[in-house]
Amino acid sequence: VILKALTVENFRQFFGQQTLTFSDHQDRNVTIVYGANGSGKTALLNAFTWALFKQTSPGFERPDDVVNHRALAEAEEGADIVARVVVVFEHENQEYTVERSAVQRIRAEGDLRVKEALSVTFVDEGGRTHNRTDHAEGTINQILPERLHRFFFFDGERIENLVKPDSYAEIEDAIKTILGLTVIERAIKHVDDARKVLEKEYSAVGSDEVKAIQTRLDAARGEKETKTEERRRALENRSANAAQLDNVNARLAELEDAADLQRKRSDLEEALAGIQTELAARRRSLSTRLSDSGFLAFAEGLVDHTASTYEDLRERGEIPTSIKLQFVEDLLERGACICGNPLHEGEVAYEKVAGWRQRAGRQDVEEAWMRLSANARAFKTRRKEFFDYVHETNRERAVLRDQEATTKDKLSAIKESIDELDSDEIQGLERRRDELKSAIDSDNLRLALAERDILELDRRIADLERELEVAGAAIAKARVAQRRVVVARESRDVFSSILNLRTEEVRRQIDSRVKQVYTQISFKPYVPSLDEAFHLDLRKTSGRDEDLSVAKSTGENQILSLAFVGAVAEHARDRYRESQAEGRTDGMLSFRGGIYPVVMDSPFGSLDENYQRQIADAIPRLAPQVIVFVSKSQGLHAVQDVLMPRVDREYVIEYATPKADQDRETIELRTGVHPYVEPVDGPYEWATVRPA
Amino acid sequence: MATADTRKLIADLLAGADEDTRKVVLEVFKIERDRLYQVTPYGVKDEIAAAIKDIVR
Repeated sequence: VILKALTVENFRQFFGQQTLTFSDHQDRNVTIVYGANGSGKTALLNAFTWALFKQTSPGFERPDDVVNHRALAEAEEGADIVARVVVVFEHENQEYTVERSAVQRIRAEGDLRVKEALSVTFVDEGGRTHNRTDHAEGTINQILPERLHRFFFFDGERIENLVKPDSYAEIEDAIKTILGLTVIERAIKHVDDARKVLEKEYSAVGSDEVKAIQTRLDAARGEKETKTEERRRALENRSANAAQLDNVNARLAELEDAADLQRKRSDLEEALAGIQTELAARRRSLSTRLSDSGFLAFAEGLVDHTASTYEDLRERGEIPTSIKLQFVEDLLERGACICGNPLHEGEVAYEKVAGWRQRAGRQDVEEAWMRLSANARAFKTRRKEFFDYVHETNRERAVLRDQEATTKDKLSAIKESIDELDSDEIQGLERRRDELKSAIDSDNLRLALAERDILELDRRIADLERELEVAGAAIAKARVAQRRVVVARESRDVFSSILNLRTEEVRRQIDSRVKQVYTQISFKPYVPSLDEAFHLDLRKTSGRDEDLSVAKSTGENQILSLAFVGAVAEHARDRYRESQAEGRTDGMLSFRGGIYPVVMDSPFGSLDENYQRQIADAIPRLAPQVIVFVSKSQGLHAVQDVLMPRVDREYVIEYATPKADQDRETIELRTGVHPYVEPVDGPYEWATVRPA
Repeated sequence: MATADTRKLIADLLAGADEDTRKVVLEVFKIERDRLYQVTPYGVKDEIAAAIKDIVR
């Protein structure tokens, strides 16, 4: 970044519009602005930081009060007075213009700040202008990081604060910014935020549900085993009882008195079983038919309605239509009627043919109607067949039920006859026979219940297995979600480790540069150091192994701070040159750096002459471009003796003061004598900057 | 530029991480670098969460 110009308009002491341009000469890289105390030197320093970052230095009192008082006083009520600062700088061969303004409206009841605005434009190498006002702050920050502004725009008298304990955090912060570690710090924070988002998603796909389904499935499978066992036992009992019954029947058939009756009974029982099988078969068949075609019983109205609607359409000639829509469209497209007449859009013939579009039928609709009508007729036939079947089956069932009742009556009569036989063995066998039949009935009942339960359990198990399959997908999902959380956590840890490695490396590099720069400035046998906790300290070698911290004077602190600023700026420049030379960014390992100017107010303060000379000697080396604000009472000799060979441009702030007893003052420079302080009439002070 | 030592330490660190973590670290770095100069970078965490979901499937 090379500063080209600064324009102030009605900003603080500066009445009207004034512009300063700055040296960017390689050997004479210093611009000096002279001004009396209170004349506006600090205002000029703050003009830069206000325009670029809306920041002001601690010595800049009433920071919101930026509009020039004389301009406000001379304006009429209702007028808007604008305070404006324009900074022009060059960055990578493009010229940027940053303009910030504040508008104050004059009102009887007190002036009101009505508007503030910031705009950024740049002109590229081809001379095209680009407006970056929508991203003004981001654009400025990208070129001149705000976190660094205190290191490049500073009040020289306060620079020593940089080496006080309050500043350690600020130093660490600045180092991280200038060396591109902020990106890693942000990554750590944002990855951790993302981890929280992913953790929430993980807990939403937890596996409790799966466990519950598995428990229910296990229970259903256990129950099915029990029921299957019950069924097996019922079957075994039934066959054992049936075998015994066969024996009893066989014995009865052997006994002379009962043999005839028993044979008849066996035949009848066989016939009864046949009848009952037939009945069951018809019941099943009827039930199947009802569930397949039962709807036909209710379709009568629908069928008739469809058929009659179709017939109406047909009778009215709407189905099938004499002319198809496609036919009409084809004629229109061809541009000729079948009679040979041409059809041109807009003409009568065309419109007449086109009118047939409304009346022409669509092939697909007609076909659908015909299919529906044919289906409706088939429905009617199927409905008749269905009712025929139901009636016939019910008639057959009635016959079978009659046969069943007759057979049962016959069996009862036989049983009565057998009961009347006078034989203990026969009666005993008959009782046993009754017991066995009753046992077989109850076996059948148990069997039927077990089978019904097994069927139901099979259904339930199939359902649960399906549920488990779906939930199984959720298990896989949960595993992925959990893995994402782990990866987020590990990534955050990797970034933390990278940050620690890079911070330590950068600290070591800056430490070594501060030592180098300090040695160039100071004649004292002290060594500065930036320790692990980012404490900037000055030590002297005691001759033993351990270095001793020295008590620093204001001068030492100022030199140490300037050495630090110089070291950071130099480091950033080297990084920038490296990245330009390589023409690439090397992922996490590099930072583009930057070339920054240094703008300082009162760098000499009230230091002793020897310190002033050392600082004057150091200033041109701090940055490729240096802008210094000085008063003639602070370091003028040092400037003229030491700094002058490096100075390219000089300005003097002419300060107009209404103070009654103020004498007129001038400043004598190599270019001659210039007005410095001017007493004026009236209530307001103001300042004007003039090239010297 | 990082010194050879730091480069090696970072390279070792990345090599020691599993593949998904390595991919996520590089992707996140890209996202952060692209959005570094946004004063308030809204939605970065969601962008990163989406990138992680895309990498870990």
